Amino acid sequence: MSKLSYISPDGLRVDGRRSNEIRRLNIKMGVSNRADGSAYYEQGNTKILVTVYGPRESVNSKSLYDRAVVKCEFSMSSFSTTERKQRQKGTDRQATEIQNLIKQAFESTVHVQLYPRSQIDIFVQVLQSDGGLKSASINACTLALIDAGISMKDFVCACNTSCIDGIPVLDLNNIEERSGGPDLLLSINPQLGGVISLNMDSKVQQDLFESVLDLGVKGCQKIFTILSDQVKRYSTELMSNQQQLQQS
Amino acid sequence: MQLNKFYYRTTKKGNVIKVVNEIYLRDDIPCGHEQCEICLSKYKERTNSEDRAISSGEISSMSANQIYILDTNVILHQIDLLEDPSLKNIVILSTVLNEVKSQNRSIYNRIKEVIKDISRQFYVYANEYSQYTSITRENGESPNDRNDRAIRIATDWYRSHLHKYQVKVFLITNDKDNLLKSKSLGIDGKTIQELVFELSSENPSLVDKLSDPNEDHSGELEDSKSKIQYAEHRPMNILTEDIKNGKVYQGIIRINMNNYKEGNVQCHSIEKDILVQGLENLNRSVDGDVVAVELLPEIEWQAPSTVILLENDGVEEDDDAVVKDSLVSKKQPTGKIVGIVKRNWKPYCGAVDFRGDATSQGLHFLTFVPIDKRIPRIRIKSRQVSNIVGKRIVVAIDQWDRNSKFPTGHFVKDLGPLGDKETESKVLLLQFDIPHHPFGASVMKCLPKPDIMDRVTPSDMVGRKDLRKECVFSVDPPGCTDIDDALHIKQIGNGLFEVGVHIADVSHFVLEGTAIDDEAKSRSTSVYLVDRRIDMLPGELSGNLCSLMSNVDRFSFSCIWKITDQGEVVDVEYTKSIIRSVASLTYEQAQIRIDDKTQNDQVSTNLRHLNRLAKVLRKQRMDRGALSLASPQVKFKTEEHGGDPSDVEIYQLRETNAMIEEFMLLANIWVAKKIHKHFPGCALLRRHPTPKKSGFDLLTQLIENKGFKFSTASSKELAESLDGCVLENDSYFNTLCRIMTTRCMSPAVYFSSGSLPYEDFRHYGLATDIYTHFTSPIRRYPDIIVHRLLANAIGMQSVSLNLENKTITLMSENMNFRHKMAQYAGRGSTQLHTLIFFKGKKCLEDAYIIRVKANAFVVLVPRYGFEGTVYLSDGHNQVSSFNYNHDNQTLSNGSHTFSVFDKIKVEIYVDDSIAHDQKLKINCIEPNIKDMLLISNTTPSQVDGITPTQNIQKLIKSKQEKVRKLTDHTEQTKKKIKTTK
Amino acid sequence: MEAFQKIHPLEFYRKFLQRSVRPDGRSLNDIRKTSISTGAITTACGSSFVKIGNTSVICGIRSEVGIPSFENTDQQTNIFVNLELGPICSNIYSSTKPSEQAMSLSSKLNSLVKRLDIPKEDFYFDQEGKVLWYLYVDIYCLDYDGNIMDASILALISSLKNVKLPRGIIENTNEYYKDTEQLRSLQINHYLFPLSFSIIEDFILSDPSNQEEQLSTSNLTITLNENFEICLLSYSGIKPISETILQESFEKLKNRIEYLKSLIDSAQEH
Repeated sequence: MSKLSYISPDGLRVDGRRSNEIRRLNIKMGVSNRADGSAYYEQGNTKILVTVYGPRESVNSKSLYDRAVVKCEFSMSSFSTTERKQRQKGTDRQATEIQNLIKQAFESTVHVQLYPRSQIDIFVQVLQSDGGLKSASINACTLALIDAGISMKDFVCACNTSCIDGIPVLDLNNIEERSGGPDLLLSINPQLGGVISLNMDSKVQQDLFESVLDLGVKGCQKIFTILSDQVKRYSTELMSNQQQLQQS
Repeated sequence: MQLNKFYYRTTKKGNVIKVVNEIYLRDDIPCGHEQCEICLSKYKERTNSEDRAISSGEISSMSANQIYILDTNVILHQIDLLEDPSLKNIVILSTVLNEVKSQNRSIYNRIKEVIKDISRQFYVYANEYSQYTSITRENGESPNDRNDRAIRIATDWYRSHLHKYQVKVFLITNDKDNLLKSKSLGIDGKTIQELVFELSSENPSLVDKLSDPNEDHSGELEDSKSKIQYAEHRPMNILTEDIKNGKVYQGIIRINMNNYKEGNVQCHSIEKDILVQGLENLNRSVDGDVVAVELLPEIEWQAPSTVILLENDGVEEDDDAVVKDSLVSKKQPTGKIVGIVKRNWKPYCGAVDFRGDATSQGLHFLTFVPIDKRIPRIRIKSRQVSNIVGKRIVVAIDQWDRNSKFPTGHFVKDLGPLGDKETESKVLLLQFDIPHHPFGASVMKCLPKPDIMDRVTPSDMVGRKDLRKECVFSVDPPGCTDIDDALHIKQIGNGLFEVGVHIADVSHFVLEGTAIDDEAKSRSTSVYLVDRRIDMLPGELSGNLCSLMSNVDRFSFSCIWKITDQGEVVDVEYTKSIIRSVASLTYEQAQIRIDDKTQNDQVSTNLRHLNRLAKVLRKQRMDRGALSLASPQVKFKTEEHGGDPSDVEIYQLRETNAMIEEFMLLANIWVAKKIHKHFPGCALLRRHPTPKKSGFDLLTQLIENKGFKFSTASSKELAESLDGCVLENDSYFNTLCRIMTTRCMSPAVYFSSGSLPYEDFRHYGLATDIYTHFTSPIRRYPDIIVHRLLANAIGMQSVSLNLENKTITLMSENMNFRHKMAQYAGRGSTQLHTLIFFKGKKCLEDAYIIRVKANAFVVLVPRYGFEGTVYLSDGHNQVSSFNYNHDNQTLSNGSHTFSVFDKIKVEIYVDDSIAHDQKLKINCIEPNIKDMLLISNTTPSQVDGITPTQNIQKLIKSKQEKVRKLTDHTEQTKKKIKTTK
Repeated sequence: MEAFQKIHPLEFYRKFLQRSVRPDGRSLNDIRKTSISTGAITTACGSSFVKIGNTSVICGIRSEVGIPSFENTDQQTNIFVNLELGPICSNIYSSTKPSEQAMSLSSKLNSLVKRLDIPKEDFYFDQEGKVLWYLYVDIYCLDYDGNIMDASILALISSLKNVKLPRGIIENTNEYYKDTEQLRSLQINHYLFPLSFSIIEDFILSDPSNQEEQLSTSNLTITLNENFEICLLSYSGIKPISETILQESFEKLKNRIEYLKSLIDSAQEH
């Protein structure tokens, strides 16, 4: 088997992007009627739907008297990847990992103390997967929570970065994820400037790590600009709709 | 703008799955022409300087007002032509580059080299990612058609894009259909032939490099007089079927070094190699090809020939004159080649055999004789006979027709005049694939400033021990500039010594992943030829910054032991350090200091301590069963630098050599232990496999014939046996035994500790359980890896990404290959210098027979350390009157018997009757073969007292006997084959 | 008013229905805005997205090759349909146990597929049909606001019409080579046109919303093909259904068929 070359000599990646470019984002907020908040999020060919229910009364006894509990459920549609997976609910490691990641990210960013004895349910449904699932899920959750009107300190923007053939690259797609390079997942509060989570599951030299991290921060900032634009546009839309309603 | 591309592919599990890839189409891909500012400004606007640096900023751009876009087939067939620097201003589309990559890796690598060379002005245009030129495959369109269409679309875009600058764009393709279709689009299309003929007015040599795979060769056939007709190769789809069904076997053909009409195919599915004899059965396979071979009926199985074919004399020779002497050695599965799975043709070095008028003009058909005896002669065409006759040239094979005895090819490169030392050295480097180009700019950029050692910063000193106060010195051969090891010793009481081995800290300067590291990795070792050295690292590092010269501060990696005077290690410490050597001695100087009792300075006393300790250690090692082997190494003396050799001297070994070696071994062993402990799965180690007993069978018999006991049961017994092999009257006999023992063993190799069980780590020759190379990082890449591993192990360096069993295994494969090639090249260089040395001389020398063949024997000349073949006939297909005894390895004609270990007198001179193939001739003078031949020729009937007819009858009889025996034997092999399948 | 709706929903509805109008402004026979799009999921070999009012479903089809077992080949089906009603679409569903509703709907959808009369040859991977394509249709409800049945059936038929499969050849057993130069669609001879009704007291409501379904005493789904042949008729309720109601319902669906056909067809054009 011939080894794929992930970056061409003229600096283009397998899908024609340059190393510091993220994929095209396509975002819709408020797509679901029944849910309190929802968002449809496309990052390249990764397509995710997130709905948020809550804050609502805790159904079981796990509620906390002083703050809300964030719960997350992550599931992949069977047609989201090319290999049909036999679904094993509860045992899927990747799902559990992402669920925990999202739970932790948002319990630290949502003003949970404002909603005592309640829970916020986040449901993530992957419709199509083409790499960067974790980061895309986090970004989509941010939008859905905003749509639900839940009070948050800041956005949570996530981005995955890697280093292929010694060049730091941003926002990997499925092929690039399989290159065997390190996979760094970074999620930050872009305005407060804090790092929410930083995951890396590979050996990397320190100086290389720094440049990869640096690129990751830049990527998160880029995503933040796009997300906040979208939120602004969406809220002005809502406002004008409301005004129209009131006028009529 | 983005687009989804999808296709279906079959997975390993046999599932058919859909693969979807997203592609982003850009509008900022520059066209690569200097005059086009629109593209350039857009490109600069979209990317920042940092990114441009990533894309190396050194991309060629085109300047001429005629640019050419190449089709895939042109690159695949004409790579030699494209490497000619006179072709410029060429656009290579990414579509084309990908096609080339998927079809032929080696051509892909070569074209990439061309693209890298800025002066060549080859530009890669990523047409698949450009929104102007990207296309999707239509339903029903084959991938090939789609790519052709992509090429046409891109060409069309170039044409309209560069129209305003009056730049003309041509599509170069030899695909008639593509040419036609592009003409209808209004594109100027040309075939490569048309282009070359246009350019040939300025550059006539281009025409010769043109490969003509489709040309009709019927005209030439008549010249070649041969009526050979090879069997048709089976087509690929049938072959795959047959291979799967087990009807034919797939493997790599290796042609016999001594007999180009015989080859072996190594198959995975059969235990034994399959023998292929005769040109017809070899059926146009060339050494290294992956072939499909069909077994012959067992009755036709043969034994490998034991004959050395005199001369690859091609046309004049009778076909199929395979000398068969299957009576003596065992038959093995024999087959014929029915198809070629994959060609492994490479460019070959050699010269043309031309005896006509070299000044004549016009087109000539020439026969090219490769240096490599395993490669057939190649027929080439040339318009410039005068330019290539008497030259070393490189030729590539284009094709081999059924009805042509030899393959046809084309001229690639001129290396220089024949026999010239410079040229021939170049040939050696090419032949053994040794990277010898000067270090590139990107490599040189990695070099630290030359005065870096004068400005040592505190950050350099982190974790580094300051050993500048210690009395450190080095001992090396005279004239050594790349000193990679130094030592110190001091007494620390309680009968303990502190001994330190300090190795140049090369990994401090050669950081992983840098250009210099990649370069060193690909070179893997410095190559030592007689008159030159091909460095692994640039001279600035190897000869200065890393070299542990005296009286300067140098970084080193130290291994420091506390040893009792009985050679017992009580403590060991590994540390990076800084040292200041007090003396750089030669072996001779050191020896004098040790021997001269009047010298009692610190260095001399320390030398004596070291020497004494080394002897203790050596004794321990010998007791464990370490072998001391020998090689017939000699050294050429040259009058001036780079001059011709004037004399030869045997490499003199002193006590000090052994002393240094002993401590280096100690360091290597201790480092091996350390890195294996910390990286049990990926330590780079070196092992010397325990030789198979069967490998020693012949030698054991020969030595025992001489009346010595020879046991190879363990390395210890072997060592003792070797010590016992001493002939009173012949001091060289012992060395000879050692040389021949060495040849019975496979060489030591690098490997990753994760790939073998611990028992197999053993280094047989050194009798140690674990071993590695740590002490020569300047000239060996494995040592650099080991340094990095050790640095990681002691917590100096962060763990690198590439430390995995897989990568280390891959790396060690390359290192083993490079190491072997370097040795071959070194030997080749010695041979070359021997040849030069003997030019115009005729010497009489003592020689020893080391191998006996049916029609010749191989002798070793100790004085010059080379070996050569003495033929019993002089090439005119004389039937040798000697009787060959395979079991005893003797040749006898009644009056005299030649056997191994015989000391004879030989005459050595250079045979320059064939200009393109000068070689050393060795004739046996005492006993005089010529006379014997003369006698035997005049009285041919009286050999061994048997008349010729009796002789033949005897032959037939024993043959029948053999056949009967062998049918039993082959029945067994057959079963074996079945079971192994 | 909202409080009234919450506390006495049935009473609230009755007040509207008596005036032949529904709380969302529809008449009893009005059907919510329906839209179909296809091909959104590129990893699937066929996909569709159907929205009826606020109810939305996404459907993707994955293909796998397999060797058919030769027993009762006539009975075998190559298409397997599964409907998923997860917590994402409504808070009434939980993720831990698959809802009974989803399971019964899935089995109805599976039987509907057989009514499409897709020729066996269309599933052939190779020329002779030694190896067949098997299609797994997964329908996910993304937003649940009633009438999941109609949405699912429309999604199923649209995505099946969207399927494109390569043909291949077989070498030896278990080794498949695909010949992707020509992708082919399935030859689907029939359409499926569904319409569901909820019966609240004596009122028959076309295309019920979630709340209407909850209040209803009986539910009726009819599916016809383009020849007005019944493909599926399911009724569940506490009272037996009268002939006239059934007849009326058939007429209502027949009137709608042209519109649904154009929806399904135009969704394929992209």
